[in-house]
Amino acid sequence: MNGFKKFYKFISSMKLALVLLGLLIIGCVIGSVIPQGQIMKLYQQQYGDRTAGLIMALSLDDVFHSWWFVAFTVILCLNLFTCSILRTPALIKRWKSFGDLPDENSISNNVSVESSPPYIGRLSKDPEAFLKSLGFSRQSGTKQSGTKQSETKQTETKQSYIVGVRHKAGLLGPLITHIGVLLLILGFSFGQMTKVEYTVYGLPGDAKQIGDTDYILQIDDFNIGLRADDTVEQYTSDITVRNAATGAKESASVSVNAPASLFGMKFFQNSTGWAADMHILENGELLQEEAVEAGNYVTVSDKTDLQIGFMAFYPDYHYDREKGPLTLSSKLNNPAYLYIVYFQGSVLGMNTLMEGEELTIDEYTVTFDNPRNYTLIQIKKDSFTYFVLLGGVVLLLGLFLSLYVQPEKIWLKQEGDGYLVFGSGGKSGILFADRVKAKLKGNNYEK
Amino acid sequence: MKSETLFNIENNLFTVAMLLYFVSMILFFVFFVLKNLKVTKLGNGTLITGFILHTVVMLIRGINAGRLPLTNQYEFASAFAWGLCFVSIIFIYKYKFQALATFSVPVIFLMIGYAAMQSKEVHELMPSLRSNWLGFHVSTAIIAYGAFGVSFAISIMYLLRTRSVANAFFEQHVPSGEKLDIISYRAVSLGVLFLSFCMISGAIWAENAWGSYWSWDPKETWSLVTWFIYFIYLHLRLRSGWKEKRAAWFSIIGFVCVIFTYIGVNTLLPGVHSYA
Repeated sequence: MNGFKKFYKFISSMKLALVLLGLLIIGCVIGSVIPQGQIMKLYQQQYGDRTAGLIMALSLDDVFHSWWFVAFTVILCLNLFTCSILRTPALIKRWKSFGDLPDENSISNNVSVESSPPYIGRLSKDPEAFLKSLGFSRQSGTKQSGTKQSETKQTETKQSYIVGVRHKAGLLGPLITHIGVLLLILGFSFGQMTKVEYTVYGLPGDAKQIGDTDYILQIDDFNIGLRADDTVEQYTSDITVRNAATGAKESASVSVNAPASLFGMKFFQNSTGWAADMHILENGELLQEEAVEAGNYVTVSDKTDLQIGFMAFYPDYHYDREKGPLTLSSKLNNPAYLYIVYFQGSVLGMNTLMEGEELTIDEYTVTFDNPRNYTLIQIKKDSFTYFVLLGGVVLLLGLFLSLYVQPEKIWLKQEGDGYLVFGSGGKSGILFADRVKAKLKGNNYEK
Repeated sequence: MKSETLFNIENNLFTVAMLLYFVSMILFFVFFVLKNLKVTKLGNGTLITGFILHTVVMLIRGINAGRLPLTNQYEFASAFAWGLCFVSIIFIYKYKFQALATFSVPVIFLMIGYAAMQSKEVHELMPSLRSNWLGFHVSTAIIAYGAFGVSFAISIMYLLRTRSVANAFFEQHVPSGEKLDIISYRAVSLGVLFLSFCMISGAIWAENAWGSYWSWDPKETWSLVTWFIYFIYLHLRLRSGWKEKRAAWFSIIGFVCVIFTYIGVNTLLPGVHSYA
């Protein structure tokens, strides 16, 4: 039991939380400096064999999904959870007793108290109005000393007190912040584990199955809205999703920043690229004709060890001696196709082919034409997105309460025909005392 | 033609605003080093005039571009300086703390100087930036960065105060160490709250634009690092009593991280935020 208590104390400690935050910071820095998700060869080229080996061994090539990064995050969650559990009873106690008088040492009759921090000044008149002017509400049942104190203390101090409090809700700030962070991490983690994501690209008229689902995504139209200066204003895809089993259909228009929800899935206009028709002729006879997206390959149907790749498209081709091939605009002024030819796995050749030019490989002739944009639609189903959003809202509320709703308390101790003013401003400290002092002076409350 | 005229007006006013910040910086320097009290009013007036002109510059650019001027390196750097000036002025008046300007105006001047070095060309928005979230996301970042900048300035002041031999000038014009420490904490609190708003609004926007509210983009990652650093600051301060000197150093480290998140990430670690 002692061991469990020790472990519980350790796992819920702030020290552990800070160490974990420090380790996560180190992880984030590494993950942002080392290129993520590359192959070993690239790391070897960039950092040398030894460092590349270390990168792979410590999963530094995929820091944010590495076992150690995930482990630190899980321990941080445990820490936040246990810390919240541990502190809740104390918080409830503090909440309930917030209107009580502080311990007797703080409000001693000793004159020297006037130089110690809780003492702020002297009030000559109208305590109710004074508290009100500072935004404090008077606590009920605290007029007589010790009304919420023990019997012993009642007999010890026979003077009257008035207690005013404000911003009590601020006490809840840290707990709500912790709950918000927990909701965020849990929502994100469960979302990562359970979300389903697909990407479908295609040209207008194409109909493709969405992953392994029963749904077919049909691209009805795709438009790129251009401004007068040739810059892109918006990408818009008109899509129809059909359930192959039931035949049910839903249609929508999807553009950047305006996703659509169909059949419980979210559809995003993710990206676009160039596609073109590739024609392969054998001895002058048409053998194959395919629409190919840039970056894809076509295998010659009757010679499977011969592959032709359509690598890139330049609508307004220009060759720069320093920069290499580039496009001057997005207008189809001088279309050119960058191709690569593979034979039995080895590169046979790579070059650009202008519109109307032919590429001849033995008995085969290859041409490209009809360049057009394809659309890339991202499809996502993540039930935990709203959970994360809730976490964000709770976190903001918690931070606002923690940082901007400072619990403050003033207690006035009757002395003769006036009052001694004491106060506690929490994190505001000396600024709170200054504010109360200024009010005492400004309204001639001061004795 | 109208656009070119507006562009020229904006350019000229920008130069004047920058000069005013520079003059203000010199005046506050004279105030602080030579202990010349006469120049404070002038320094303050110059700072406020510079800020008003800077606001006009941003308004003109917004009108000329037909959108919020918060989308490229120049616009964000200019807005960063504006946010820093805005938060500085609020803190100067709220805490009756004129000497703050001595340390915050140089940071404002450096930032507007950085803006001046960027291309001022007005570009149309790319589709992913055409969102109602743009204004909220970037303006919360500006206030957060401004607040962290003010905390940085106060922390420098705190460290100088503790190292200087107490003299009448310091006692009269610079708040006590305890007060500086709390005012710096207040600035960090403002920054943390607004940075949180910025990150959460950015996540909602990214979800709409790219279908992913968090993608470990370098800017996202470094914003998280900044957030963690200030969270460590808040926890150490509130629970372990890391106040005053140690808190001041932490605040300085936090602002270095903010600067790296803004300038370093944009130049060294390109990602989806490379335009700003």
